[in-house]
Amino acid sequence: MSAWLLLFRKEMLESARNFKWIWIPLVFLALGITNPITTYFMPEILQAGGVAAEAAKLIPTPTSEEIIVKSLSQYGTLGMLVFALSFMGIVAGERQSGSAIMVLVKPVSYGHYITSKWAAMTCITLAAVTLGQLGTGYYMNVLFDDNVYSEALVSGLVYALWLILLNSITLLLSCLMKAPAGIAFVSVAFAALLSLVTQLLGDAMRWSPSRLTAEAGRLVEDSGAGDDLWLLVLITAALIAILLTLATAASRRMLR
Amino acid sequence: MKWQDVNWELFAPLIAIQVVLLIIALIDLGRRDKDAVRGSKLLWVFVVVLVNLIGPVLYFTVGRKNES
Repeated sequence: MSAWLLLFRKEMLESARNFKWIWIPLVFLALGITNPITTYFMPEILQAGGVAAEAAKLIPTPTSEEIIVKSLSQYGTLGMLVFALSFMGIVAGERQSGSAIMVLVKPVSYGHYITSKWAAMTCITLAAVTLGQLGTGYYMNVLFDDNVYSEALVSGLVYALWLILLNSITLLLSCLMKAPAGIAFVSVAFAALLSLVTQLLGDAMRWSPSRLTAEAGRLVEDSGAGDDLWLLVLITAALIAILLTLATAASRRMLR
Repeated sequence: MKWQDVNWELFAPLIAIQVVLLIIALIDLGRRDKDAVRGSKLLWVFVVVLVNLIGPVLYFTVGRKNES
């Protein structure tokens, strides 16, 4: 366990040194607060863009639920891209620079090596999504006088699980492939494909983790948690465990 | 909307985020060897300073080489 903690601390230190711990949460915070602000000023933005004042007033102000859901969907597009691009080299880069060998000649298990990396990624992801949702909550409070902190945080947590699953895929690919750009591309393409297939097949894909994104949105709305929420959480957790096992096996083969 | 009418208190946090990102991107760029940056360093200075928010993000994600 202490060996694992040491590896974990090394990952955290590295993320702090290359500023990941600062810039990723800040980008999410920016995404989270831009959203309520643009919604608030939408009528004025439209007028500045040449839409008549009367017409601009006709556009309904979105509800706070809609604003939170929109924040979440931005984490799903821009946020996912940020994670894929910044974690693509997490193992592949270390293999290339040789530092993976330096770590693994010591009596360190491959499982510890992979899970410590995964834990560090997960910490950053949770911190970033939480900060972004706090930003949205704060601005909802200031601009719309609406206290939605708890909804924002809970839905953010569910959404973060989807992002963590995608991170695990990036981690596995990083053990399998060499080109960082290819790793990022494949993991983003995988996420897009899974979402698309889930939408197309509907009921047959009820178990699909990409439905977590929709469930996170439903949590905010009055309808409350859907029936499938816990099923999806369990399936996603199981998939993450499988991906980590595969990544351990892959790193054992590739790094030797 | 006139310059004075803008509610700067609302935008201050966004501006602060942008400034912090810009500064840490420049610090990182300054510390790095030429070889550890993809493309020319001078080009990245311009991208980071001139492109709002996206510039530093681009630098952090694709501008740095051998990221691990």
